[in-house]
Formats: sequence, structure tokens, C-alpha cells
Amino acid sequence: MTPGAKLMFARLRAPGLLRGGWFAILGVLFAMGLDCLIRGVSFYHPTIDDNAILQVALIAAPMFFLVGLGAFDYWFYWAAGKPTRPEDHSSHGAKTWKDYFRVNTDHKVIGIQYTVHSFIYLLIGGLFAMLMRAELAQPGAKFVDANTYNGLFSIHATTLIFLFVIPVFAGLANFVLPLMIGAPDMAFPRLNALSFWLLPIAGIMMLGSFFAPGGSFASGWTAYVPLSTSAPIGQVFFTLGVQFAGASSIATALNFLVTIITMRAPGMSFFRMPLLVWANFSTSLLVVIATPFIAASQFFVLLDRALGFNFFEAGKGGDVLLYQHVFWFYSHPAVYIMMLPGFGIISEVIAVKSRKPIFGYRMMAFSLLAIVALGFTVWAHHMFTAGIQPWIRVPMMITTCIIAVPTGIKIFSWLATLWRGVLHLDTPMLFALGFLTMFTLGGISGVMLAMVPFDIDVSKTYFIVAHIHYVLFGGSLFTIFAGVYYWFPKMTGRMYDERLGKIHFWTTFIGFNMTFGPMHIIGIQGMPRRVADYAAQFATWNLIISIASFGIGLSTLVFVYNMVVSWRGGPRAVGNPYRALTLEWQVSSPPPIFNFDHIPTVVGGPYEYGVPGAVHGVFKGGSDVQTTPAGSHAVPAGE
Amino acid sequence: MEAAAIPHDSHGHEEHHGPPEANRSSRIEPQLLGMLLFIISEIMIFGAFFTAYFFIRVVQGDPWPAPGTTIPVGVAAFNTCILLSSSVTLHWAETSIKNNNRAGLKAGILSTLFLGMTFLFVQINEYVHLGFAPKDSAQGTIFYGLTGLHGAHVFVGLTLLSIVTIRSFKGHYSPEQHRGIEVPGIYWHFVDVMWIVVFFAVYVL
Amino acid sequence: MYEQETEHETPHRPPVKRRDILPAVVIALISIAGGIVIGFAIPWFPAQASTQAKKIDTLWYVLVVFGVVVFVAVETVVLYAAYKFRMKPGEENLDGPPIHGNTRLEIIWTAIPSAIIAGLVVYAAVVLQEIDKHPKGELQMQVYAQQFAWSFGYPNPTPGGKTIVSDDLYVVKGQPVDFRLHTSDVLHGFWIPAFRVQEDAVPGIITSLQVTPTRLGSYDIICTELCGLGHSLMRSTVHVVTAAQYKAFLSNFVAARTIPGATPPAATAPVASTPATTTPGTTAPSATTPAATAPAATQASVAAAGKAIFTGSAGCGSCHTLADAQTTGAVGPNLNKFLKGKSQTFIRTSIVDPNAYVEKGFAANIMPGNFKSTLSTDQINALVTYLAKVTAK
Ligand code: HEA
Ligand code: HEA
Ligand code: CUA
Ligand SMILES: [Cu+2]
Repeated sequence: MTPGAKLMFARLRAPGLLRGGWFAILGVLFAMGLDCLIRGVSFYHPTIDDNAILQVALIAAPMFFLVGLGAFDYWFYWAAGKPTRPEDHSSHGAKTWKDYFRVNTDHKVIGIQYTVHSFIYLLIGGLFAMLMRAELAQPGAKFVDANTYNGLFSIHATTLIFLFVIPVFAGLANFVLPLMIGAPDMAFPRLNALSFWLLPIAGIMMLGSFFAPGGSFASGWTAYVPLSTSAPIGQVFFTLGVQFAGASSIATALNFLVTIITMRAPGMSFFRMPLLVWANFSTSLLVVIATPFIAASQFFVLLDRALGFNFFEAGKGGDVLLYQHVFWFYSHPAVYIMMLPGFGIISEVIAVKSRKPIFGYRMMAFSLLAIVALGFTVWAHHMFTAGIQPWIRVPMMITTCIIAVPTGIKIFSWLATLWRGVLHLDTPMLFALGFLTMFTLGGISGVMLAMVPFDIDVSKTYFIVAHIHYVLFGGSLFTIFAGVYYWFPKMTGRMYDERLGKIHFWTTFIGFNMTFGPMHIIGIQGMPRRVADYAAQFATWNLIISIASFGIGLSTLVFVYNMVVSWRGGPRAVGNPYRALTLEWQVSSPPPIFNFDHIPTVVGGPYEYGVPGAVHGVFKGGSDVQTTPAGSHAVPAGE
Repeated sequence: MEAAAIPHDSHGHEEHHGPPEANRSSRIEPQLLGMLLFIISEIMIFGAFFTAYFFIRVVQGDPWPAPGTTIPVGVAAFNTCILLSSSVTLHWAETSIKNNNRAGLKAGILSTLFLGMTFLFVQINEYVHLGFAPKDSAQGTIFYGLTGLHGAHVFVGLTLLSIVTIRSFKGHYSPEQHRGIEVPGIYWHFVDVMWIVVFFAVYVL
Repeated sequence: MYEQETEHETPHRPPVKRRDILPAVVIALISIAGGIVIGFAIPWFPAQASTQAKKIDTLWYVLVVFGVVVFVAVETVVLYAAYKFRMKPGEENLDGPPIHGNTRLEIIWTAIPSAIIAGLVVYAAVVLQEIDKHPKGELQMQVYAQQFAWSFGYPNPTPGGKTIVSDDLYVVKGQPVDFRLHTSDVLHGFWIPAFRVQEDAVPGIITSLQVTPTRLGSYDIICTELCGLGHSLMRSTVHVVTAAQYKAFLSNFVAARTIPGATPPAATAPVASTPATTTPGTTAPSATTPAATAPAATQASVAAAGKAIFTGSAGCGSCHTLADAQTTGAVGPNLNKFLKGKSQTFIRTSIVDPNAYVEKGFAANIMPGNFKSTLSTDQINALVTYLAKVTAK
């Protein structure tokens, strides 16, 4: 064999994307083989059934891919009882950009993989929104046909929820959470890597549905039966894609919980944890408890579709509303999965940028837990007009409204934190204040929707679309932007461009309100959601909305430009540019490969700004990292 | 100015090229905690299937089992005994290794594996002879749904146990180091307890 | 207001004086007033045409008032803080005062929202109970949903008569109606914005919706639950009329409907003309209606009946473009093009078994497969005759 060929074989055999690729092809072949075998043996006709092969392949190919990628290598050794390779930390840290395309067990690398990957899906999901708005700019079917349109908003919502908001929070927390609690890494680094690599699978699967015969899945992100059980095969891409995203979510949540419980630095009691850690703790509880329900709901759909089960077959004793109950038992908590980590980010940003301790720290933590608990008791507020038993409605209205109280406690505590502070109104802080504004509006429209008689009128109209975006864009996305700007120096070691950041904020803020504000009005006036075509009376508003939405699209490009250019050539960031107290800021930017030389000892609360000389953690050895004390004598940034 | 923050100056003990030892802030072992939390997720999966069971059997109010079909309680009761005894043998294996009794470990784990496989075999045999299929009725659907979900968990449990078996025979584990048995063991006990719930819901009630 | 400060080494911001807050409070009050005025000025709702609508609209305005108050309260603090407490030159190293909390404040901002939502919830529950009431003399009507059309079942005025099914919905002003919702395929949502109420039609169960129309006129019926390709086009109209008009509509309709149902198309039926008066199943008094004097079935009248089915009960027009019927649906193939020169057999098969031949560029399983059971043989015959006629050239 020539050396060249040898090298090629070595490449093909080495774990990595290449091996993952050809393993995935093996997976498809395996699916074909299995299908022919089973159908052949049991004399089904035809022996080769495209749909059956496709469904099996959608399960098998990702598994084979992960094996090829090397995500399971260690565990295979372990399972076989072979001596596991000693940990040489070769899969730790990233030296070149190529390391981001491997299975890497470093939480910081995984954090960046997660975050960047998620933002790609923000652009894709946003691009689909732009196409939707282009179609909706004028009444009548102008631009895309009904099937494509239904696919567009289904994939828009699915990618933004399952591949953007949920994972990007996990990504940011992946990067900063171990640093914040003084841990060298997550509790299960290999599981952490696996959680990440499940995401591209889910993403490609969902986007791939556009190429499925009969078109993409087009039953909304809620995929109600019986539309989804009778839809063309593209629906299965959703059914299975959600399983991969959900598995990723659960694995990360387990990892966070175990890390937070068992790996905090000495001295860091639960009530000395930064609120971001509390927020991810609460979120992870939600994920662990709720996510199995969406997995089950999609199993039911799959079984009904593929094997003729009757979960939802009304004629055979199945129950159509069962789907909605199971789905919302996950998907309502899911909206808090998409909000609580954002609350954590806002607490960090507001405390540091107002130079004040968080007002009512303990109530902040307890209100998170209260939202977790209440979140499981409200699911039927999505079903007020679904034909449920009438008596369920009033209890669910009450529980839903009660959630406004702990949320209100958080909002008011942030406001009190601002009071008499020294507000640094830079980009992260602007997004935090923007969040306070927009989320309050979204929350108020939520409470309005919780009022059953009003919901009976506006359910499934553009009023809902307005609420969705005020809480998910004005709420979650604003916190994500705040967090990305805030930790950008820590994650990349570079400063972002402040001026572009401010331009991004103001264009987004204005474009956002012009896009989604009028939707409240057209919703109440009678425009239903999920329509490609609408009555002429709504033409003016829709045109305005479409134009404004293109404005948001452009403003997002400003953000992308700022990130890319600053990452490549921004000014170098110091370890602690904001004089923050939490531990992640006490190490270099970007942090050293193993986070700390010595685990710090925590001696006080995380937000003791204004208390002269107060520190949160101390490091062993004088020449180790310097912790920044609070108070007015701290070393100013960038000097 | 940025160099000041980078902690890579020379310390005598800093020659190690690994991370610092993490602080242990809780007495519970990470692996154990992870498994317990995972079991919460698993309980919720079963919870969702039981929700379906509730809707099909109680909300719809159709007769159980579907008219014209019977569910073999006797076979299932026998199977319950098998699965329960597998928990006992697993416990035997665990106590053996704690007392450094390798033979007991091997015998215990093998018999657990054997009992688990018997359970699955009996279950599959039952499916073959039941005379109804999931596609016949919603009752059939949820019968196969719940027992099938449980069967899948038995399969996962058996996979974990066979890894333990391989490793036991290769000489792993010691009185001090036996978490590798304990953690899958908890899972197996969970699968057992879950079966009792499924058994009562599907066969007895 | 805040706890006493003990630290004086660091120069914190001085406490805010009441005098400074006053302007902010005044501006906030003005904003609240302004917000409420705007909230009442926006033309939120379409026509208010039911007793339910009245109560729901009032609820909405109450919600607007509370919404404005809460929002302005939050916003005032945000803007005031951003203006008053922003970092000024020379304050780069300044920290705020280390205030950790204040129990009294925290109790206040737990209690006030609790009180607000408690009040709102009780009020909403009362409204709900009122709009859900079943008043005496309620008329039960059926709503049949299918992809992608509505039809409506009227109680037959003749005791023991069969439900009268029409594509038009007429209800009487002041007459409480109890709609019973049915669907033959997937979920649909039955919404009449002017009545402010909606409910889903769910396979396997019959759901219901109460409403009392209060204003004459014609209003939109909109399908709100995503039901497939034609979802956006699944529209209809409800006519609120007087009792007399309602009666006239019903008897006219019954009379008119006797023709297509009773006259087998010449093309397929061996008996060419059956007298219309012997129509089974209808007992409507038809002496004065044009139907009684209708001529025997001719090719033309059959085709006319087919056209009525095409645009009406079968709802074909919501998915298919057909010039003759002036429909512009874009979900399915354009029939002017694709049926050109096709045989009657082909057309018939395409109606009763849509998947038998699926035109390129269109997906299977979109067109309902149950026309064979939802349309009578006569109706299918009429439809085929009509389609063959208008697409021949
Ligand atoms: C981040 C996501 C997120 C968040 C946080 C929320 C938060 C809330 N949501 Fe929202 N919701 C969605 C995402 C979210 N929602 C989505 C995606 C849908 C549509 C799903 C679909 O069908 O596709 C939806 C739909 C939805 C419905 C169903 C509508 C319908 O389909 O008919 C309802 C009904 O009750 C509702 C209510 C609420 C309430 C009461 C809150 C509360 O948690 C809000 C609490 C916050 C505040 C109230 C503001 C701050 C509080 C104060 C300042 C205190 C004082 C306030 C008062 C006294 C009122 N939401
Ligand atoms: C986090 C969640 C999130 C976010 C950020 C958004 C963002 C946007 N959404 Fe989305 N939306 C949802 C979640 C979200 N949405 C959900 C859950 C639904 C319900 C779906 C359902 O009914 O099932 C929905 C539904 C929905 C509808 C209703 C569809 C219907 O019912 O018919 C509309 C209509 O206008 C809409 C518009 C928009 C717009 C204009 C944006 C804008 O903010 C987008 C801004 C644009 C960008 C961020 C992209 C910028 C980039 C480019 C322009 C080019 C880049 C391109 C490349 C690099 C290739 N959305
Ligand atoms: Cu019917 Cu939408
Ligand atoms: Cu909800």
C-alpha cells in the first residue's frame, strides 16, 4: 500500500466527522437491510418500502454517525471491560478552529460549539420568518404556496425553539457555569459532548424535511393530531428530530444538576451561588421532569403513523385531546425553560452594570423555584378552546395568573436593584433594560390570555403571535443578546464593538415593536394565525409589519458582523473588564484550559457591590489570579 | 496588563497537566445522583404513557380489556415473580462483592441476567399468543404501549447488566470499588418497581 | 424607605429625595391616563354582534386599564433609573449603595399584584359563567367541519324531520343558539370574530358553543385551527336575520334542495324524469316555491346542481380554481387546465378516490378521500356532469 493510501485509510478510521459521515451511510444501508429482512421474512408487500426505510434510517443513521464521530469510543472500551485509555486531556481545549469540529470534552469548547451552532439556527429560523413576511406582505398567495408556507412557520418555530433558544442557553451556561461555581469542568464531560452532537443531527433532520416527498412537516410546532398522524412522511422528520433535541436537553440538564450539586467550590453554599446558577438549576429541574412528556407525545405519533397504533384514532377508542394534554404538559414548562436562564443572565448583567447587590437575593431564588412548581399546573391554558371539559378551565386560569406573582417579584427586584445604582448603559445593559420593558408587555398579554373569556375570542389569532414574540423575542432573545455581549470578552478574549452593539440594540428594539406591536390589533380584529392568505382589511397593517420585520433582519446582520469582526480582530479583553465579583471574571479571558490552578474558596455573596473590599472568592497563593474586590477603589477596566 | 491575569507562571506543584481536583460539595456520588435524576425522567416517560392509559381507559370509558379479548393475568403474575427474584439475585451480587466474594458476584449477576432474559422471553411469548394487536383497538394500543415501554426498559437494563457481567468476569470491581454495579443496579431495581405498577394497572385493575 | 446605611467610607449616591421623584410620578400618572385613552381609542374589535361580545369587550377594556397601569409603573422606574442613575463622567469607579433588600417593599410588591389578579380572576370567572349559560329556548344547530369547508345543520321545523343541511348559516337575532361542532377529518376551529367566541371541532367528540346574536348583518366565520393546505381559505359567513327571514330561508332552501337530490341525471339514470313532488325525505311545504314548477331534469339543470355542489357543500372551490364557478383556490390543481379533455370516468375517480391519480407537483392525501360518503350518488353524478361540461373545451 502506498503511504498516501495508508494515510487515507488512517483518516477514514480515525474518529471524526469523516468517519461519522461514512458510518451514517452505513446506517442508511443498515436500515434498508433491516427493512428488506423483516418485510421479506414476514411476506409483506412490497418488500422494499421507501417510507419504512426512511423512518428506520432516520433513527439508525444518526446513531451510526455518533459512533463514527467517536462520541461513544470511551464507553465502548469501558463496556467491554478493556482498560480505558488514561485521560491525557487530548480532547480538552481547542488549539485551532478544527478542534471545534471534533468531539471535545472541554466545557468551554462545548459552550462555544453550542452557542455558535445555535446562532446559525437563529439566522436560518429568522430567514424563514423573512420569507413568511414576504408572503404576508400582501393578501393573496403571492410568493409561496400554502404547503410551503405551512412548512415555513412550522420550521421557523421548531428551529428557533428547539435549536436556538433552548440550546443557546445551555451553551452559555455550559461555558460560564462551571467557572462560576469554581469547578474545573462539568460533572460528565463525555455526556456533555454527546449532548452537543445530538443537536446538529436534530437540526439537519428538521431542515432536511424540506426534501422529503410530499414536502416538509407543516402542522406547526405543536404538530396536533390527527393532522400530524395523517400528514406526508415529512412529519416524521419533526417527530424524530424532536427526540434528538429532547435527549440532548435532558442530558445537559442532568449534567448541570449534578455539577451544581456536587462540584461547587468550598464555601459556596446554595445561597452564595450566582443567580445564573440558580436559574439553570431551576431550568434543569424543569427539563428533567417535563421533557419526557414531549418525547412520549412524539412516540405516540410515531407509533400511530408507523405501526398502526390507535392512541389518537377516535374511531378505535383513542383520544385526540390526549395529544394536546401530553404535549402541553411539556410545552408550557418549556416556555419557562426558554425564560428562566434568561432571568439568570439578567440578574448577572443588572447587578454588575448597576454596581449594586441584587435586591432580595433569596426571593429571587425562591421565585425561580415557585415558577418551576407552578409551571406544571397550568398546561390547559393552551386548550381553553380545544374542547376540553369545561370545569378544567377556571382552575387553570387561576394557577396561570398566580405565576404573574413570582414573575412580578423578579421584575420589581430588578427595578429596585437599578434604584440608586451607577448604571453603565452599555450594550448588555441596554438589552437588559429592553428585556424588562418588552417582557413585562409580553407577560401582561399572557395574563390577558389566561382570562378564559378573552382567550375564547383571541385564541389562535395574531394576538397569540404577538404574545409569542413579546415573550420569546422581547424576553428570551433580548436576554440572549445581553448574555452574549456580556460574556463575549470572556468567551473570545476580545472586546466587541460598543457602537455597533448600540446600533444593534436600537434598531432591534424599534423594529421589534413595529413588527409585533400591531399584531395585537389585527389579532383582535379577526386575523387568525397560521394563514398564508388573509382578508383585505388587514393589508395595511401587514405591509407595515413586513417592512418592519425586514428591519429586524438587517439589524441582526449588524450583530453578526460585530461578532465575527470583533472575534477575529477586536481589542484584547482583560480578565475582568467590568470589575465583576463572580468567579468567571477572576480568571483570564479566555479562561485557562483547566479553568483554575487551584479551586478558589468562596467567602461571600456573589453581588456585594458597594461593600468596600468585599470579595466573592479567594484564590490560594499570592501570584495566583487576583480577585477584584468591590468598592470604589477597584482597578478600572482597560487601564 | 492582560498578562497579569494569566495564571501560568511557575509554581513548583504546577507541573501537573490536568485540571485541579474538583471540590466535592455534596456527599452523594455524581454517578449515583445522575442515575437518580435520570430515573426521575424515566418515571415521567412512564407517567406520559399512564396519562394515555388514563385517557383511553377512564376518560373514554371503554371496557377493559377490549371486548372479545382476554389478558393472561396468570402468566404475568408468574413473570412478576421472576422479575422480583431478579432483584434479589442482584442484591446478592452486590453484597457478595462488598464482602470480596467474587464467586458470589459472578453467580449473582449471571442469575440476574438469566432471570431478566426469561422475563423478556415470557413477555414476547405472551405477545405472540395474545390474539390481539395494537391496531385492533385503543385498549390494545395502550396494553402494548405500556408493556412494550417496560420491555424496552428491561432490555436497556439487561444491556447494562451484561456490561457488568463482562466486567465482573474480567476481574473488575472490589469491595472498595463497586459503583459500576451499584449504579446499573439502581436502574434494574427501578425497572422492577415500575413493572409492579404496570402489572397492577394493566393486568389486575 | 430603605434600610439604614452603615457604610460611609465609599461615596455612594445620595438617597433620592421626594422632590426629585415627584416629576416622575406626575409623568407616570399622565402616561397612565394617556395610555388608557389610547387603549380605548384603538378600534380593537370588529362589530359587536352577540351578548357574549358585549361582556368580553368590557372585560378587555378592564384588562387594558390594568395592563397600562402595570406597564407604566414598570416603565417609569426603568426610564427614571436610566436617566437619573446613569453613570456620569467621573463615576467610572463608583459603586451603588449595598442595599440587599427590604422586607416591607417585598411584601408590598407581592401583595398588590396578588390583589389585582385575584380581582381579575373572579371577574373573569363570572363573565365566563355568564357567557356559558344555556338560556331558555335555545336552538340547537349543528356545525359540520371538513377540509376545507363548513356546513350547517338546522333543526327541521317539521317534527321528526331530518336535520336540514346547508352551506349557509342563518341565525335569528335575539335567539340563543347552541352550536354542536362535528368534524369528519382533522381538528378545525369555529370562530366568529363578531360574536367573540370560538371552539374547536374535535374528531370523536362533539363540542359545543353558546351564543346569542344581537345585531343584524353578515359576519365572517373563520377556521382557526391549522387543518392543512386549505386552512387559510376555510371561511364562511353567518347571517344574523329576523325570525321571519330565517323561516323564509329555511323553507326556500328545503324546497330548492329537492331538485338535484330528486332528479337523477339523465346520463346515468335509466328513468329520466321523476316528478319533483315525490322526493323522499323532504316534507317542506313547497307549493309556492319555484321548485314545484321546475322542469324535469335536463343536462343543464343537473350541471347547475353540480355547480352548486362545487361552490357549496363539497367546498371544492376553496382548493381548486375553476373559471366557470369563479373559484380561485390554489391548494389543488387548476381544474380548467388539468381536467381539459378528461373523461367522465377520470373525473369521477378523481373525486371519489383522489389518490388514484395525483397530478405532478401536488401531494397525495391532501384532498379529502371521503366524498364518496359525504356526497350522495346523485350529487357526485351532478358534479361529474358539471365538471365535464365546463372543462371540455
Ligand atoms: C418565553 C416564553 C413564554 C413565557 C415566559 C410566557 C409566559 C406566559 N404566558 Fe405564554 N405563550 C408562549 C410563550 C411564553 N409565555 C408561547 C410560545 C405561546 C404560544 C404557543 C402556541 O400556541 O404556539 C404562549 C401562549 C400562551 C397562552 C395560550 C394562548 C392560546 O393559545 O389561546 C396563554 C394563556 O393563558 C399564555 C399565558 C402566559 C402567562 C400568564 C405567562 C406568564 O408567565 C407571564 C408572567 C409575567 C408577567 C405578568 C409580567 C411581569 C409581572 C409584573 C410586572 C407583576 C404585575 C403583573 C400583574 C398584576 C398582571 N401564553
Ligand atoms: C425564539 C423564538 C422566535 C423568534 C426569535 C422569532 C422571530 C421572528 N418571527 Fe416568529 N414564531 C415563533 C418563535 C419565534 N419567532 C413561534 C414559536 C411561532 C409559532 C409558530 C406556529 O404557529 O407553529 C412563530 C410564528 C411567527 C409568525 C406567525 C406565522 C403564522 O402563524 O402564520 C410570524 C409572522 O409574522 C413570525 C414572524 C417572525 C419574525 C418576523 C421574526 C424576526 O424577529 C426574525 C428576525 C430575523 C432574523 C433574526 C434573521 C436575520 C438574518 C437574515 C435576514 C439573513 C441571514 C441569512 C443567512 C445567513 C443565510 N413568527
Ligand atoms: Cu379548518 Cu383550519
Ligand atoms: Cu403556556
